[in-house]
Amino acid sequence: MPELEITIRSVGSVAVVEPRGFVNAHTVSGFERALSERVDAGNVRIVISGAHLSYVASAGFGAIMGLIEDVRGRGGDIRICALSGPVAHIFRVLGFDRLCRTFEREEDAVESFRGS
Amino acid sequence: MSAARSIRVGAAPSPPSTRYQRLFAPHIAGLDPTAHLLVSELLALTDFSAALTEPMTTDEVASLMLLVGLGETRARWAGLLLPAGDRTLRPAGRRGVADRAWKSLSFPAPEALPREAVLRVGASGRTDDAADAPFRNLLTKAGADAVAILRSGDHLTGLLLVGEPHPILAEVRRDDFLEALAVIASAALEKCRRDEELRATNRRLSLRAYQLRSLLDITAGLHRVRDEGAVWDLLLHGAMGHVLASRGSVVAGGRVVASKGPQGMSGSWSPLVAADAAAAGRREAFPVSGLDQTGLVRDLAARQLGWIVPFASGEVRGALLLGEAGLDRRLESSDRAFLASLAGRAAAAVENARLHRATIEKEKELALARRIQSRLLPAEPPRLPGWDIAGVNIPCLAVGGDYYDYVPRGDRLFVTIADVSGKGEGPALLMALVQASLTAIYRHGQTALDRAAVELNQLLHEKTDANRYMTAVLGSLSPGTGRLDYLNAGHVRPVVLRADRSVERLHAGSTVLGLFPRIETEVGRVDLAPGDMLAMYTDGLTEAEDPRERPFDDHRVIEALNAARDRDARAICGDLLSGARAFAGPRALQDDLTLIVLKREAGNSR
Repeated sequence: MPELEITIRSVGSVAVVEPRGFVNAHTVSGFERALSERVDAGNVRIVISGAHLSYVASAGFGAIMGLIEDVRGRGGDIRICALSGPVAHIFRVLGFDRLCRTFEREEDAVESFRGS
Repeated sequence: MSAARSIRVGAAPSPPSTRYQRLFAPHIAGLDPTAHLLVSELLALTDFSAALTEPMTTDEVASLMLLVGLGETRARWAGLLLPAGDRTLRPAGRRGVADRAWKSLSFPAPEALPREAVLRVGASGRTDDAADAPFRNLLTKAGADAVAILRSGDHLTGLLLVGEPHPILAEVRRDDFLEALAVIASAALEKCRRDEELRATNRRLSLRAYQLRSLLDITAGLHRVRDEGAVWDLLLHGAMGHVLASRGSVVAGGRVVASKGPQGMSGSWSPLVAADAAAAGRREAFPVSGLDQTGLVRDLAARQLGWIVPFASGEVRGALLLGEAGLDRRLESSDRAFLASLAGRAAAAVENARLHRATIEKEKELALARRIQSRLLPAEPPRLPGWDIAGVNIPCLAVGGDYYDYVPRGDRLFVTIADVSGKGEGPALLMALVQASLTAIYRHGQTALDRAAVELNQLLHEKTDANRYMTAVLGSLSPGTGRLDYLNAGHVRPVVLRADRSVERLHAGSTVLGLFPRIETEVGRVDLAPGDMLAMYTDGLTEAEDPRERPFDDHRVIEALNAARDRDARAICGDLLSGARAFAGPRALQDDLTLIVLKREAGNSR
């Protein structure tokens, strides 16, 4: 099984990016590419679902940070949902949940873009 | 009865305060006002204590304390000051009539505390107690009527300020109540503070553990990538993730090699390059504000780049420029060390990648040189009736300075073995020159070995460095008669192994070639009879060393030749080579090795 598999779904105008596995130094370039391809295609409403995320090393947060200003500058946002276990703990410890809006349920994260 | 069953069996017992309230309430009305007041205060305190047995945050304790205090003192307001971290106390909560001055209150914790737990405006304070003074000043400043001092041991942990009593209610001044409230609250607040400190410590430890794991993750990643761009990307991701910065660039070798974050950072890169130059000579991560070039600071601030992290590993020098940390985080010295370490590792990875690439290029070049050189050596030994000839050449690097050749000319076979000083490309090029020259000398009719040696000496002396020289044996064989004329120019003496097992060495000749402008020469002669064998070799064979640095030497060479003499020439070469390799063992061969064997077949004479 590969260290990281990323599926991307469109829910209305929102792209739900669902990484499965580990975001680390080994896989971060693929993770960044998946996100930046959305942004380059003009898709700036992005929800990252943590439902199947096993771990995020700081390089993974670096990839999100590198895109977030661009995304927000274009009227979009990167929002996070479905964090649990150690990954949720990491987000909290880093304070990342204060930099990106975080939701328990994917539907709520997608819904939060409505009217924005 | 069903009514009896409606009382919840097994429910938590009522807290003591409720029980006391139930006990005292019916009797309070009948008490005289002073006793009434005391019982009420007592109930409030037990109520407060009981509530504090539940887990509470500092805010919850503060809020409850204010309400209890306000309720029992009938003051117009009550407020709490709590430690703010820098040895001052600041407003933490307030109930009752607002006062604008309240929010800006700041009370520097004095070293000494007054003996009283409660101080009151207008009360006759002992004038000799200087510890009272700061508290009395505070009372005046806050417009408060009394202050209860919360302590933990000898430390000031909070202040409860109580405003003047409500005008329409009876005046109540119960200092002992305030004191009791302060004691109970102080213990609870102290417990909250410790809990919060513990939580903060845990959070910090979690963060450090996570950062350490990330550093290992990135270090491992840097080991894997061979592409420079990927290394710089990883450095940016790691650094930005660590401090939660949203922009960053890497400058190396005077140009921007990687960048993340808003495109506004593109445009002119010159300030970034200038920042790199400004970072030169520094080792630690430092803030942009620490630079003295005012223009540069402005340029970088416009790009929201707050930090410069210089790095250097060999020729790889530059700087990581990083945006301000997210969440207004201050970079502690451990963060700066982390960034410096990360940048240093990335620089080392890039240096490694470059060395790796250079090695591959070099190996390609050497492989090419090796192919060219191998074409200069004889592909096949000459086939002469009555003779069995074989040669072998093993360069210790990809290319070597050993050389051997056979040039047939008329009824003669010119045999050459040579060894150019040194190893590697230089000698290999010289070898090519020798091969071309000697072939030309022989083919153009100069068949006298002494003339050939003199010409070769002159060529090498003129065309090469002063310290470069060559040893060689030039031979001229008449296959029909077995006569060999030879000239040994400072080379390992060839061995003639007679059919009767006697041994002769060929030493006549000259000094080495190329070192002196002129040489004296002598041509030797030996006749090879049927069953005789000639072996010529370079010192790579005799100087092969075993792990104890003992050489293979002539003695072992002759022994091995004798042992193999009944085999064909190719097999004899193979035997000597494997013998030398077995002797050297794990040391492997340290020099180029060349060996030629010429056997005059015994059957020829019969």
